[in-house]
Amino acid sequence: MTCDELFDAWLHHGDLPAGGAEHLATCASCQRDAEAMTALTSALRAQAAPEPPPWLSRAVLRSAAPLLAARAEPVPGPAWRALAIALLPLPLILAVDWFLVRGAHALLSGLLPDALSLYLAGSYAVLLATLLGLTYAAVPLLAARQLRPPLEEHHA
Amino acid sequence: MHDERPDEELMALVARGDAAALESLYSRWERPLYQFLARHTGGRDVDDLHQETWLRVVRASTRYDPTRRFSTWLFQIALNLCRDWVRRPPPEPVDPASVSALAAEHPDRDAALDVERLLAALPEEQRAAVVLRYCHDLPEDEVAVILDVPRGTVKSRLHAAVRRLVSLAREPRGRP
Repeated sequence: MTCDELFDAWLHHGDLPAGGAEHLATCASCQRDAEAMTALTSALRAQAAPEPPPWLSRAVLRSAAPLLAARAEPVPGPAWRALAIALLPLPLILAVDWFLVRGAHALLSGLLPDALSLYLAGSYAVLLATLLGLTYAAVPLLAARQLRPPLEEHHA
Repeated sequence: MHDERPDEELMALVARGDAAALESLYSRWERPLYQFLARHTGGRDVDDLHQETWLRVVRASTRYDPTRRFSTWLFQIALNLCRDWVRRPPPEPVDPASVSALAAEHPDRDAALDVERLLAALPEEQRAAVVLRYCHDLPEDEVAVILDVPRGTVKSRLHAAVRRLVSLAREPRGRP
């Protein structure tokens, strides 16, 4: 066993390997190293590190608060409230659409065969309903987007 | 009140903006992190580094991988900050007379000053390995993950560092 092997075994495993005790008993340099290493590792473990000052936790948590607020999921309330407000004029919109579809059907039935005018007026009604549905679906999304806080930093 | 939930669960809540979860994590890791920074930097700018580490934890919380240990990730962030910090201009030199006077006034502080002096003599990468391994009692595997190097490299850094520390410790005090 060499001095380096003994040193490594002690350093990484914390105990003497087979044959280590014999080497240590006869090697004055290793004896001095062992003594210094024991003193050193216990000094490192016992080293008194400073305690964090009491004000630091408040400062850290206060600085982190805006970042956390940005991370928080948007409160659903305002988005649903926006949808509820948008739904208020819906009966009027439906009534206007109904008159538009009926008017279109009356106009077309004077010019085209009844089945074809019915088909075109039906398609118009479906188109209006689809557009109306998409508009109302977008209301909560747009409201949530407007309520979202500014983006936080992305680098760590 | 003591929070029993594991760090990884608390981090998932922090990623969703939960301030109470951050407070629990903070109270659990405030002291170990602060002491790691103090030992690694020799006590310079520790408050700022500590604060910045936690802000980075919050900023990066959505990218945190819950299969990894939180402590490992936390120390990695702190270490990266320390590396940036090392590139800053050095502090004003300390008057050796004031250190001796302090040691004379507080004999129990003498040993701590000695360890600080020894650690300061190491290159940054060796000092990080020694502080994590011996002051924080982390296993070599975890030190390797924090330092982002193979375990063999940790072993060789520890070997070189302890060799140097042992030879410094064997030198008579006060020698330049």
